[in-house]
Amino acid sequence: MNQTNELVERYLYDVTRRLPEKERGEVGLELRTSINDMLGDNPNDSEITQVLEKLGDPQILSESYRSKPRYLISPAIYDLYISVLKTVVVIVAAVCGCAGIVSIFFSDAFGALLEGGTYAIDSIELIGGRIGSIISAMLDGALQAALWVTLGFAIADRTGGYKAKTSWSVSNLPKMPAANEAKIPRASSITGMVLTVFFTLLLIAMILQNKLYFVFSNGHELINPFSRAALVRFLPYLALLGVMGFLMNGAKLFWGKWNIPLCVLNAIYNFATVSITIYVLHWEDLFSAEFLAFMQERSGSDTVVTIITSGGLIALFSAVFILGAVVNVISAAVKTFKGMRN
Amino acid sequence: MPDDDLLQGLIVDLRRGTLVLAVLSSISSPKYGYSLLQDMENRGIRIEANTLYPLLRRLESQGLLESKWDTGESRPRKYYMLSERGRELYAKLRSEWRRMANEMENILREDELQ
Repeated sequence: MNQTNELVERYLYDVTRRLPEKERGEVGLELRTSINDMLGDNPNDSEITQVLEKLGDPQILSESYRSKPRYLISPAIYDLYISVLKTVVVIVAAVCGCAGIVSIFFSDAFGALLEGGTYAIDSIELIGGRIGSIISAMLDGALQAALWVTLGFAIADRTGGYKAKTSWSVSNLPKMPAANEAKIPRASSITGMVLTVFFTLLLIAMILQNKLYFVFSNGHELINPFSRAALVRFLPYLALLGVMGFLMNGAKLFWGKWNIPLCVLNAIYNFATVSITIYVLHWEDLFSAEFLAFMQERSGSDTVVTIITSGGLIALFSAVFILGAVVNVISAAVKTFKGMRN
Repeated sequence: MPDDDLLQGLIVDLRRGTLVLAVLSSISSPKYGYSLLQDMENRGIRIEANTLYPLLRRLESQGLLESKWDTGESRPRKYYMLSERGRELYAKLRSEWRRMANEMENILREDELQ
């Protein structure tokens, strides 16, 4: 005679609901019969309770029926997952933050703040609100990044995308961490990436909005040292420099220490940036007419202007840039060499 | 961790290793869950219901046991029995156990004599 008992049914439900659908039916059936066997005929409530408590926590029982352990990210790739997660989230949050900060500079509120006046206090409140929205944008970005990284790893894990380690041999041993001179701290690479993005975006926005803050003031007039035409023409080069800087820092982050590929990349990067810089410096219309006029006024003679336009100043700056690049490339090469020697 | 608990834990670990062998040796004729549990208890094998029932399913999925549902009586019952493969593996496992028990006994005796 089939005994249905509410307590037993609830117990069975709690055990089977955590199991995959296919198994639920059979496990439930089998377990119900076993429980009823253990109870005998016409059990009273305390006997039922005793038997069920002897069987124990439904969650634990259910777990022991499972063939495979359950997890989102398997232990095998968990370390990799955590390190990727940390890196990506920090970068995304920082980039969101930078974009937000740049947008503050170009909000109406900030402009009003600069001009002072009665609207200044309202502007401060508005900026406070802006900062709030930046923080929430950073959080949003960080959460999204975390979600996609986690999803990516969970899916890769289940589709077997990650090659399971078959067997370990001595050749799998990691090399000793490079000598300190050759190591590139992660923090510095990440900071480099973030700052590159920030300043590039800032400069691009400034040029586009025609609001340069590095200006000279001639009484009431703000004078832009560089001509508008030159600045606009500079935009794609600026973007290119930004991208290259970002990638260069990304490469540093990826390798974490100076090695041959990174050293070569660094040389290429320096060569490219110096070339672009020198090329731009030699544009004839680089300096704005107002600026040149201003310099002439201030110095009271033609000499300063001549120095600027004749290219002497430009040549000096170019030499400085080239020297800087050469020092950079050589120091990187030295570090690479030292790192390899160990 | 108090000594008693620790000891109990170690004993449970020891016993866990012999569980499968004990189950296989008790199932020479087809049995269903509860009857197997009672048989094993009668033979002095200490095993809990919440250990045995999932274990039976696992042994079946490993091919050591076969099962058959008997819907004749008032309660539908799933009977387990040794499969052909199970029979072979049980024999091998049994002789392996005897060898191990022997080795263990020698080691322990040596240690006691010192």
